[in-house]
Amino acid sequence: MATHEHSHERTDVRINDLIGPRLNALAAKAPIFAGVGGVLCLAGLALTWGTNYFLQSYLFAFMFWFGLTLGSTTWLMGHHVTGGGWGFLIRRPLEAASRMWPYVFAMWFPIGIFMVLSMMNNGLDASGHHLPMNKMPLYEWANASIRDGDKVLTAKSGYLNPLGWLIRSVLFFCVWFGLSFYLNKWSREEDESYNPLVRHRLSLMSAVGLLISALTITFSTIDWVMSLEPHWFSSLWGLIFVVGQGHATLIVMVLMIRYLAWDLPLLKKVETRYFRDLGNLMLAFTLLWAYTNYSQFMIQYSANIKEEAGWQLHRTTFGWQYIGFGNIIFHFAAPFLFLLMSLTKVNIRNLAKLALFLVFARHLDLFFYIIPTFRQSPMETFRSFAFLSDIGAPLLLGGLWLMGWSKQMTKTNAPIVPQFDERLEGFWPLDAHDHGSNGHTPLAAAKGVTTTHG
Amino acid sequence: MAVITPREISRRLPSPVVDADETFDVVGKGNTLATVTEKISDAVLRDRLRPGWVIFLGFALLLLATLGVAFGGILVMGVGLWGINNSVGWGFDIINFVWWIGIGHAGTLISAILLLVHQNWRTSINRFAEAMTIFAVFCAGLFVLSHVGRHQYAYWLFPLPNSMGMWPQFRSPLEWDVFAVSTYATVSILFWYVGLIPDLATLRDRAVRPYVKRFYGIASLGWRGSNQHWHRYMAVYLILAGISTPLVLSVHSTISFDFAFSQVPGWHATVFPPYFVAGALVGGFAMVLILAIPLREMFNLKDLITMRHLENCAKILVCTTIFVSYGYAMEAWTAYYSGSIDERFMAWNRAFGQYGWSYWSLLFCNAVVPQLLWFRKIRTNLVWLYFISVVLSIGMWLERWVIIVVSLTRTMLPSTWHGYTPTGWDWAQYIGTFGLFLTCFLLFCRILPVIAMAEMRELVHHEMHHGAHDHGHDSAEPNGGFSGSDPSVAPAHA
Repeated sequence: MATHEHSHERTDVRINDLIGPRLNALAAKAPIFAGVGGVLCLAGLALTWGTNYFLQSYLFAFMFWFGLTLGSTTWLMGHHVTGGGWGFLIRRPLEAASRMWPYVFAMWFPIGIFMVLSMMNNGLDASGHHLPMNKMPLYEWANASIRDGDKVLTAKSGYLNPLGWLIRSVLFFCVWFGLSFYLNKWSREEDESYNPLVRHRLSLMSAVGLLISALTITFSTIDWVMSLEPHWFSSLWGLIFVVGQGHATLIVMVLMIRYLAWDLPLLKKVETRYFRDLGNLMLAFTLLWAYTNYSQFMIQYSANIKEEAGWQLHRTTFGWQYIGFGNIIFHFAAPFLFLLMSLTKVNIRNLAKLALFLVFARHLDLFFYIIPTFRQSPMETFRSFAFLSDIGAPLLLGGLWLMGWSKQMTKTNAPIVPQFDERLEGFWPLDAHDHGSNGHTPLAAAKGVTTTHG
Repeated sequence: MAVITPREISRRLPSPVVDADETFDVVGKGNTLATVTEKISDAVLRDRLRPGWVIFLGFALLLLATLGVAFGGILVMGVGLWGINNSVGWGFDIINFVWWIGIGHAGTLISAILLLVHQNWRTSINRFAEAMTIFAVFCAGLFVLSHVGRHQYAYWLFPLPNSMGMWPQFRSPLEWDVFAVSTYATVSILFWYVGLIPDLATLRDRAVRPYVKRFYGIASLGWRGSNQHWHRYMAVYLILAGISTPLVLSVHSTISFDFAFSQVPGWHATVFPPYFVAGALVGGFAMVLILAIPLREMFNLKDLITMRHLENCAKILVCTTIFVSYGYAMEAWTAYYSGSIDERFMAWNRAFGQYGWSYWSLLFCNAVVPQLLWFRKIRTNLVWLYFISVVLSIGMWLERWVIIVVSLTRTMLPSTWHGYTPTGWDWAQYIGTFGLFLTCFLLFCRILPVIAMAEMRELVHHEMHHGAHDHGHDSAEPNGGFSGSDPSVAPAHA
């Protein structure tokens, strides 16, 4: 293992040599966030007992950290297919995030258990009337008595039924876990020796995996979020989440680089164009976010049909419209203007400031997608003390996720860049003398070996 | 360390079999700044007309004459000549309008977006793809123009102050289309022409005959290749690329709004904007391949439009066809998930109604056939590539047929149900636009450089000096041909 000083100059240096202490510090601090979040959630739960406020908060917080994990798996595959230089900057953090599936499955468990409990809730009060929305099961269609009395819900009960929902959810996790398992396994193999077949295998699986990813993002978010208002539908829904998750992952990865590695000499050698690429990707996803959301809103607003109007009305009345305007400003207008400026994009510290802002914006976005289903106005959040769990749940899950992620980073202790990925040649700015005393990169050396022995 | 032999690698990795004169480099080996200029400009300046070109032009003019008759008939007699009726008010006119506009999209994507994302391989195909865009927009425009019915009032589409107080309906996406398409046409023409200026100057300097020299001299707007000229040129080119980029999304999204803003089952779908954009790119890239494959043969440009370009276009086709397939899946799925009787009937009618054949054909053409392009041996086989491109063009036309016509034949009110059969006038106008497109394209190939010379020289220069370092390629011959050229043919980085 290289010494700490020398390790900064070499690309075969491993994660723990470079940022091990920082990752350990993060792993130590993250439980504090989780603890504070947990206390807030408990307080919220106690003050809103008998309602589903806590679950609403939990769901939107879960969707952020779940989206980050799925987004990381998807970006990883995107990088394997395209091989862009920007991807080498964030490949290891993405890989660590993609190994978070067991944690995320555990996070999903309360929602799954509640689904099982919902099946037993008849959704009616003692006098036979429907319960108010905040006392209903999270997914109203989960209840047979409600489903059977509703023509539309009955018509789609072949898909939208609790057992199907549970089976599909478990299947989604199996697929994501499988993809992530092989992506990581083969990536480790790629680090061990020069073997273009592994690269080919990674590219091919990633190409197919991207398709699988798009389909599973679509159907998992239909199941977990769109079906919260089961009469409403939008064929653009899946893509909105593909874009949203991709965006959220990029911003968190930028934050990781900034806070874990920005002052390392090695990172300072990276050409500014790769940071600009990350900034441009953020700009592209900012625009795509606006494009998909605008399209969905405008098409449904213009058609003005009763099947779709309800969902939009819940988000454009009783004060929710102001949250919507805020979403446009925070998630689109402000970052768009910022990212248009080239000078800001090449500086990772500037990008990170924006990314921190966008983490908040993405939470607001998910809040806007989920919460108006249950609360008549944003003010209900404060009146009902739901704000405690609205703040606490993201902190709780975020703390747990970051703790798991930093442990994943240190556990594998992979080389900071892939050692034998041919596409790295010419992209990474280091000269041959940075790689060791023999003056060859590991890849060049390996190619020499294979030629000699071949 | 597991050691793997090169023989084992080559045995297990897919390796295409191509002709000896084909290459996967961005520029064929042995090309220099001089050879690139010669090859491209000779196609324009050489005197002898190629027999193939003359035969194609004759055929194109024949089709153009058909368009003249069809369009003339519509102008004189009106749209009653078409097969449209009260229920199916949009037929071949709008199908073909959307189809042609879609074809133009690849040009903008190649010119603008691939430029902004530093995809240098675009250089040898961007010029003719841009030309294709412009000619496709011409063809599309003809359908809209004839569709308005009372052609003498077509100018009412524009917000021109008038004594009658007539004003366009700005809340209608049809009106947005007027602005979207006209902006698209204007920016595309500007982008194309600005890119042409240094090449026109090269032709001016290489032309021998005085009138040819004068023609290119006027067209090149006094270009001298000075440092300042290049500086301004690069700035304008980049700005136009920036303006064009959102147009790739906005034009076809606006066209999708024409349908999606309505309540007609089969038209009203939120996925339409991105799905239409992806569909446009499928049609556009298919047309790029349909044109590029014969073009490189006809003008002996195999080492400038290489297998790398064709394969990359094929890869883009794989991505975009998967995206449109996702769109088909989401449309069908949402019809079920909506629980709405109208939506579900629409989906059933598409698959099993009177025009069910067209739905299954479109799925076969756009979702099944392009999956062959996953195989590198198919992607690098010119016959397969050409065949798949033609199939995709047909498939994209069928997609518009299914969306527009099939949806209108069975709307929510059964008393309005009516079939649709295109008349000979519909077919004549559609076939005729191929004449317009081909004529324009063939004349373009003869009069203007089909490949951007200045940008190619920059690329060759880059390959000569950086290629080996960046990509592990053998560098091109040193300093080959970078002499004897006048200042106007200096590379764009000068």
